[in-house]
Amino acid sequence: MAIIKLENLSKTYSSQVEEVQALKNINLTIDKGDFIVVNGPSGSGKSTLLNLLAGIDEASLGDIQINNISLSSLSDRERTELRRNKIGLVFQYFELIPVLTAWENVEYPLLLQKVSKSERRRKVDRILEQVGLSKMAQRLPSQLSGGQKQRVAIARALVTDPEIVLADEPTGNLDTKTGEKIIELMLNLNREYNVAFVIVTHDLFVNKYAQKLIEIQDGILKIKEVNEYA
Amino acid sequence: MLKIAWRNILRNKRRSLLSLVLILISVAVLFLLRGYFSATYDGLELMAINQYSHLQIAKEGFWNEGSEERKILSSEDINKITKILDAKEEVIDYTNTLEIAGILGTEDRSTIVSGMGIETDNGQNLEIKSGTKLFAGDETRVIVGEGVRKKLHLKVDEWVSIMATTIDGAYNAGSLQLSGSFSVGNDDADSHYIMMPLSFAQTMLNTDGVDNFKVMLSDTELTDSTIQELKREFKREGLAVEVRSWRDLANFYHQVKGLYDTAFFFLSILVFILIFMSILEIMSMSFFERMGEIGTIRAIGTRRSQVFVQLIEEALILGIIGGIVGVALGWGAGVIINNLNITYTPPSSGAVPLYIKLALNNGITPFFIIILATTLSALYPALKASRLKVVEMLRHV
Ligand SMILES: Nc1ncnc2c1ncn2[C@@H]1O[C@H](COP(=O)(O)OP(=O)(O)OP(=O)(O)O)[C@@H](O)[C@H]1O
Ligand SMILES: [Mg+2]
Repeated sequence: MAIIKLENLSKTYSSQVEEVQALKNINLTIDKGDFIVVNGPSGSGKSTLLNLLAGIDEASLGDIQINNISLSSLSDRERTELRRNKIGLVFQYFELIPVLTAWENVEYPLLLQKVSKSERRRKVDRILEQVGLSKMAQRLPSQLSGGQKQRVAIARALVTDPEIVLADEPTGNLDTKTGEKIIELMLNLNREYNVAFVIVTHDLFVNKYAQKLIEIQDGILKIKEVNEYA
Repeated sequence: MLKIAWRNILRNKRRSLLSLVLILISVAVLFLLRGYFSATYDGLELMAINQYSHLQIAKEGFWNEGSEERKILSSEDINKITKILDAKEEVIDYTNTLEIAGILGTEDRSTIVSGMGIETDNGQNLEIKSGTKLFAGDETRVIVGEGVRKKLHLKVDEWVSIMATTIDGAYNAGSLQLSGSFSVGNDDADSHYIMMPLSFAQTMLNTDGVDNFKVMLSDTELTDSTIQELKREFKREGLAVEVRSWRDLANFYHQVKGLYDTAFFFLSILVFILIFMSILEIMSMSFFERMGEIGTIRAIGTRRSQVFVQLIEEALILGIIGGIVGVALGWGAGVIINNLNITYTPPSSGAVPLYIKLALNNGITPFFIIILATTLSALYPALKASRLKVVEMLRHV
């Protein structure tokens, strides 16, 4: 079942100096529970693609449909609402709120959703347990290692039960071993919650987990392989 | 969400402390200033009531400048007014006066004086410098300003002559015996004021009337309402009289109050601008540094309005804390200043103690000025930060 459809999507950045066509005529379907890995050299347009999917940037041409609703037809407020409820984001630099503890960081999206206190407690405790950070719950981000921070970020992305998690180089700042653990965590969560993941990465080891492996080069998207899992 | 604002304030302690100290000092200074001004108003009010009583009743046109003939209350008027005043519970005392301008002299010196015929059984709220005040029963005694006494080289119990014109314009003269000298706290006034028994002044002016009634009430607050009532009753009696309050009569009160109010207004604006500019600078810097963070919370679903509110909350918290602590600080400083018994000497007057009136009332204006300044200064940066594009903020990291 398709949750996201990209149709003839193009993105051009124009500055006074030049025009950069970051994405050229992209077509892609993301199904529920997909585990998609996106490769590509630096500057090829990977982040651009994720930003468009997250609705924090606007396409120049073409359309993105999420659950059959065209993103371009939504107001800024509606897109914010969509990110809040349907999309989880994981960043290369973790991007936790520094003044909040791990627990509070994970709680934050639930506060935005106005979830009740008891429900928040239940959900946050559960997801922190799943990412293996129950013991670190009261620590501030500054007191956590990179891998731990990224686990908190993943917990924050998943706590709202989104339909899709978009991760831009989630292992980019982690050593290979930690990176591998993070990807495995994502894969487990992907299977358990049937949440779609789109992971942009330079790390080749990630590719072996991919259900759909995609490569972008100079703004052109190619689907390299599709693996079916049981 | 208030939690986040609060923790962000705690995060950069040095910066928040700087803002706070700035706010604190401003509020404290404004509070002290207001306390000083309102203590001065109170002092002036006391002085004005002392001099003019709570209200005065005089013939219609008495206070009109440049009126030709002298407006005097006739004995018939006096009877009617007395009856009305006696029936009023809030009227605790009243007295009649009659002004008399003339020349006071001894054999070899003289000076122009502005005299006042007073009821001698009434308290003379004056500082007696030599001799005694006038007593009930005195008929030909006089007290003069200290300046007058010095100018004429008068000694107590010495006789002086006074010359004046009667109401009908005739020349008249009389003799008075010096009872004492006084000061009203103003050198200029002390050099031409004299006071004598009302009956003497009436004889000098050849009248049985008086200029006015000076009326004291049980409470200053009752002044305006009593004036309204009196006016109605006087009208019913067909009396052609005017009633004025101490506030109407005391020009100096308005002059000083006007001056101080203006001074306070401009100082408030100054402080407002100072706080506005500094907090604007500090907040802009603080928001700018957190651009990536703001981008992140926007990306994960925080509305523009929520970001805006959160940033404004930071300024508001600072303002409220600074406002409250500032008033407390000002209060403390006020207690210290009052206990130091500092005095200062304004021109042509005796030493005046520097006193700060400590009232929560005086904190209200400074408090709101600061809240307004901090909130407004955060408004623009907060609006800007919440309006920026999410991708651009995220790229800022
Ligand atoms: N705001 C922008 N203005 C102009 N050009 C931009 C902007 N953002 C990205 N680009 C350009 O668009 C192209 C794609 O950028 P993008 O960030 O998507 O690449 P990427 O694949 O994520 O690279 P990396 O692996 O280094 O993160 C690049 O050539 C980049 O310079
Ligand atoms: Mg990128």
